[in-house]
Amino acid sequence: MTSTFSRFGGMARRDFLRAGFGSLAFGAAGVLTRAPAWAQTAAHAAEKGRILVVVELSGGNDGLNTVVPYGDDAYYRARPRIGIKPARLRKLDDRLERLYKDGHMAIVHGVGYEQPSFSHFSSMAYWQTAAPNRGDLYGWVGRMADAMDPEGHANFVVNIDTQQSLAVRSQRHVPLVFDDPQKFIRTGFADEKEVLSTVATREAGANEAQEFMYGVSRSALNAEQLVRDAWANYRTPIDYGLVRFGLDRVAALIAADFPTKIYYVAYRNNAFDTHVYQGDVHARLWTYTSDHMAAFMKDVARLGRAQDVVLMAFSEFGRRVKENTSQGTDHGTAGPAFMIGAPVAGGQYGKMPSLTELNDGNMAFTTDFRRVYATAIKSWMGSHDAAGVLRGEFEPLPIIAA
Amino acid sequence: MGSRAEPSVLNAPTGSATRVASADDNIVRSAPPPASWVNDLAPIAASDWSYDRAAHLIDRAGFGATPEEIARLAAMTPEQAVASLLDYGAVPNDHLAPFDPSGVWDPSLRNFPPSRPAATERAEKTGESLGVRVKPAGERRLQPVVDRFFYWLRATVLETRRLAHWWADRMVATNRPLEEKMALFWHGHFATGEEKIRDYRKMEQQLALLHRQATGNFRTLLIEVARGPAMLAYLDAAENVKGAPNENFAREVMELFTMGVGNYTEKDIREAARAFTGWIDDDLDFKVDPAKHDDGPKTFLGRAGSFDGVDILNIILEQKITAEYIAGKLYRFFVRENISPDVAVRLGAVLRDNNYEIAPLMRAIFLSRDFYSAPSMGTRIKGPVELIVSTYRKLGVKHLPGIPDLYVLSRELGQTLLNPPTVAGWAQGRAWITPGLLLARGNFARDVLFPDIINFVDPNFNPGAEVKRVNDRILAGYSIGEATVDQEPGGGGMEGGDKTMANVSPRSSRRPARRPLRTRSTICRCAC
Amino acid sequence: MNAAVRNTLVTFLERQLGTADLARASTYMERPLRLTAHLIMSSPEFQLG
Repeated sequence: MTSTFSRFGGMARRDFLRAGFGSLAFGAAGVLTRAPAWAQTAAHAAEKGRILVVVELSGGNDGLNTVVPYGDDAYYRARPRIGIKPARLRKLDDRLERLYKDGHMAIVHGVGYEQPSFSHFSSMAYWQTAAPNRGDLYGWVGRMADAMDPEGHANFVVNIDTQQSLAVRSQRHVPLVFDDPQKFIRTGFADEKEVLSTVATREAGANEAQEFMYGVSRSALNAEQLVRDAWANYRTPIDYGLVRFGLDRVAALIAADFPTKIYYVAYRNNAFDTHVYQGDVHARLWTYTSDHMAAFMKDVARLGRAQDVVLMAFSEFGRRVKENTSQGTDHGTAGPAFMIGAPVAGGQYGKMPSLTELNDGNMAFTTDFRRVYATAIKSWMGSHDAAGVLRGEFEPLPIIAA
Repeated sequence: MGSRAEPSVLNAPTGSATRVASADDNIVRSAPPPASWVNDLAPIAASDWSYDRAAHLIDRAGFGATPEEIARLAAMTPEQAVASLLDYGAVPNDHLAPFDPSGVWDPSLRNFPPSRPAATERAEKTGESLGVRVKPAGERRLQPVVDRFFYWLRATVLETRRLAHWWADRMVATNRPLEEKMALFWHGHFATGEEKIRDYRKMEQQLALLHRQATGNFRTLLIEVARGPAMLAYLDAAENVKGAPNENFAREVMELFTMGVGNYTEKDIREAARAFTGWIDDDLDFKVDPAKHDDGPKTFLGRAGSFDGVDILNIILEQKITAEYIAGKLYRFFVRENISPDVAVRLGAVLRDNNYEIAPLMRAIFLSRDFYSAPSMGTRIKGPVELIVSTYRKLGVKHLPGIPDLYVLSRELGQTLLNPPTVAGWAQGRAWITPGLLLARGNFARDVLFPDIINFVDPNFNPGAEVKRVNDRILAGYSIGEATVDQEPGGGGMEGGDKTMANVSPRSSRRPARRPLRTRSTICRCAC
Repeated sequence: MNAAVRNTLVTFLERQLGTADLARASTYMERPLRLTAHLIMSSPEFQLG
């Protein structure tokens, strides 16, 4: 049984050319003229400029219609209406398939955990905390940041969102969280402006809590202008697609030499929750997603950072094998996870779960998701404390080419 | 802001607090507390009392206060001041109105199905679901059932926001601030979220319980919370049945609510799960289904017997670690984050020796020298709800204003009442602060002092641009399929950087594609 | 709050009021006081209690 990409795009890409695309100038990449004052990197991070980008696809992506087991009859039996026929299985577009063909995309099959939860809320929290069926006060990215950089340097973690994700909650770090760079600003009336920054700036604090607050305040003051500058100065010829869930902003910060090691973005609002008439919706979701991710990888290469960046994409669960009565699918279990980047040894990893030996209609997971995390933490970011971060030993997959 | 009242506490200095008059005003502050006060649980002396210590007390045991109120506390002895906050039973609070429900629930919504497919399956089997009958003929015969399903999902979400607003208003207006502060603490401890429970009435019921036992008895509180419909629904207790135990409930009770990780084995969890089998929430009542309950012999934490769920809870309460865990958590919320193991043991003993009565523990904490020691003063980061409520109380505002909107603030600052992120509650302290959140807090202050009435849009009546567009088209006579044809899946909310959909040649200018009519509203996010 | 910040705030309020005398400014002092309160509440210390 072989699998390959499904046809992600319902339409040819040319349909999506935007009117404004042609006018984007390919100028010199925007570079800040001053190095950020706070950019002291932890010793480890200084050796390698490695960056991890985590992409959370919320809603429970239908893995079976993403990486389609077209050689398995059981797939078509279970999905007489929404199963994707082999004739329609072609590359989504030039870009994401090229990543796979160039050996830069790893697909891990059957990723999940024991006693799976079918609640978006709970299951996503388990993925974000790497604590299935428990939850944790802090996120796995937060704990990874604490392990890699116990001093808690500013902007080590960036989360592009309107709210801080549980995944990046950290004991020692202040994640830089923002969504719209143009709105990342302290608002004040004209008369206040001058005084506002004085009031927010301090030197030494009387106690640890004050020190912490002053540090965050400084970071906000510094980051505020730098984020807005990074965005304003950033120019790219690359089309990031119709749905921009944050990778464009990540690229802007990378271009501006932010010291950030981990970026966390999400395709939000349970977009992948395709219960009803999923054919077109799911295809479109993947057009948007792959356009955005492939654009990012191309942009990173353009910035000369291809060897430094690995992107990891996942969803909080897959979907049931059998289609439902509304030509969609309901919450399921094990789905594929992806790791993408020049440093990745592309190909397929893990074992595709059986479509016939099911648990109450759901696939049995074959790879614990914490192994994918361990791959990122240990093999890619080089942390020696993956076991501490993940609260257990999980063997990395051989995805990162040495 | 106004001018300050003259504090009347200007007794001649005695004892350890050498008073130093500040140059700027008449507020008398104490000299820094002795280092020996750290971890010293002995009560402070009356001579140690001062304005700033009274301010610290009301900040922690309440939500802060105006200078006049602080001065009144400062004029008492420490015991009187703590008693005035802790023994609130005698304090009249009749000006507060009970929650006024909108009337969105009716009995046909009892035993609400767990998913849209379940709702329609029930309708297909019985001809009716949620009080709505299947159409005998015509198109989309199940549509009315589906509409009813989504009606309730939306209605309970909105009503929960009203409930949260009512509670926050109570926090601002109450004469019993400690009651509300404790209820807030317990809500974070016994965390449940309406997003999963999908029934504001269960949240309301649990909230009343948290108020009732706020400084009551922890044993009673634990047992009633565990048997409460909100917790049963939140932790899927109904899926824990004889022969197929689901350990989730047992695990959370032990790990998060009572003992903490490392004080029991996995076998204990499995045995406890067996004891909890058959526990179900029958609408707003607790029931045990005998057919689903495993009444066989069990071994739990070294004890043997045919335990049921309440027995398990009582055995847990017998463990020394339980009292220490709870006392420690209260300390970390009310005093400071780092608790010395010795203090945890001693405070655990206070709780245990008082048969899990909470008030004696709180009294001991609020009177202790440790509470007024340097590491405890001015070191706590207020969570968003505390920040909002204390801002209003310190300004002498008597009720929660409608603008800025509480729900919008909750989203921006990162804490939404009645919807904690997980059963582990909210991470305290520094987790509340990021650079973006710090800017948001400054912007909150601006919104309080200069409410933007011109741009105010009630979030409950503003479902966003996408829904508005669909609404416009429906009003113009489009069918549902045509009205939603170029909806971005998952709705908006990712505008972020520029150039998302704006420059796309709109597909709506072409003929809408032939696609099956959708049977779900685009307003609701998840159909399950 | 340290002396430098306090002085900045005092100077700010005085400039807004056009005088150091509150009584003299009483008929128009609401907005300046609100601005000052905003500045105080924007300070990192305000988050601590």
